[in-house]
Amino acid sequence: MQSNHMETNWAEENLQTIRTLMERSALYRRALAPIMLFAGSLGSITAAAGLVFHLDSGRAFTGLWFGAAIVVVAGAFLIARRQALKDNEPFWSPPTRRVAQALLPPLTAGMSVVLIFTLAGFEGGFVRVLAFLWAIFYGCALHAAGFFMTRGMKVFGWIYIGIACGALLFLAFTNTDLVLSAHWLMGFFFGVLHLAYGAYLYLTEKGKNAA
Amino acid sequence: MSMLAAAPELSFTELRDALAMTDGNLTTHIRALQQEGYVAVAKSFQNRRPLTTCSLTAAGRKAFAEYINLLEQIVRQTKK
Repeated sequence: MQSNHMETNWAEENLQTIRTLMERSALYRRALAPIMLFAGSLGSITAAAGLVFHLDSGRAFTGLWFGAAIVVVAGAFLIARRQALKDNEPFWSPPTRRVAQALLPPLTAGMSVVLIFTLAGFEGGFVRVLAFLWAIFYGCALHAAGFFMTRGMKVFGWIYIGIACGALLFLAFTNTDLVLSAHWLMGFFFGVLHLAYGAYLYLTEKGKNAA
Repeated sequence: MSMLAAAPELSFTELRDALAMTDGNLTTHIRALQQEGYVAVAKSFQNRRPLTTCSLTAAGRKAFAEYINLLEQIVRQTKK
């Protein structure tokens, strides 16, 4: 009887260990391609709106892109939730929690820094610097989340960081005056790059399924 | 399956050494799991040497989680 009880405890402990390891190692895989395509489409539309309506002042620029960010986050939430319901899985799973925890600090820092500079009244060419700052913090967020997601996410994060830092260094050391509107930069970072990554994810996933 | 559930992916040699199986024996098991759609096998190169890695698919992860749930239920019933 006692031996049976000890074996049951042993079984229970081992199952708990397996479950813990399983939950810790699970990567976030849900709905990445649709989320990237959605974010890219909205980024492109927002950039176009900024250019067409000449929303070039610091406050108008920040207000427009903050609004777009809120819509993208809400949309991403809905897309992920829809897929979770479709697959009969809990939405707020351990991998989802870890990705959210990884994304929050750099995204919060990025939003705060841009907000502070905007409220401090920085205008003109500095608005373009805000676009690069946003891209750098976003790249850091993607890289952090990449530890709990598919491999490509870390590389994607480095692409943002590399391009934005490289561009800033180039402008600083060559004293070049960037005439491009900040909306073009945001359209590239948050429109084109998202669309490209979303298309890559969609095509590679399709290829895997076909195989 | 337990080993693959605890890691994003594992190489063929890691699995073979940890499970103390022969190449042929492990290949048979992996093939069976692959046919059921539970395991994905990727072949690549590392330092110019072929590298085979295995990982659980979403279906495999789900099936294994259900298996663990069932075992836990059995253990709970036994304790009662």
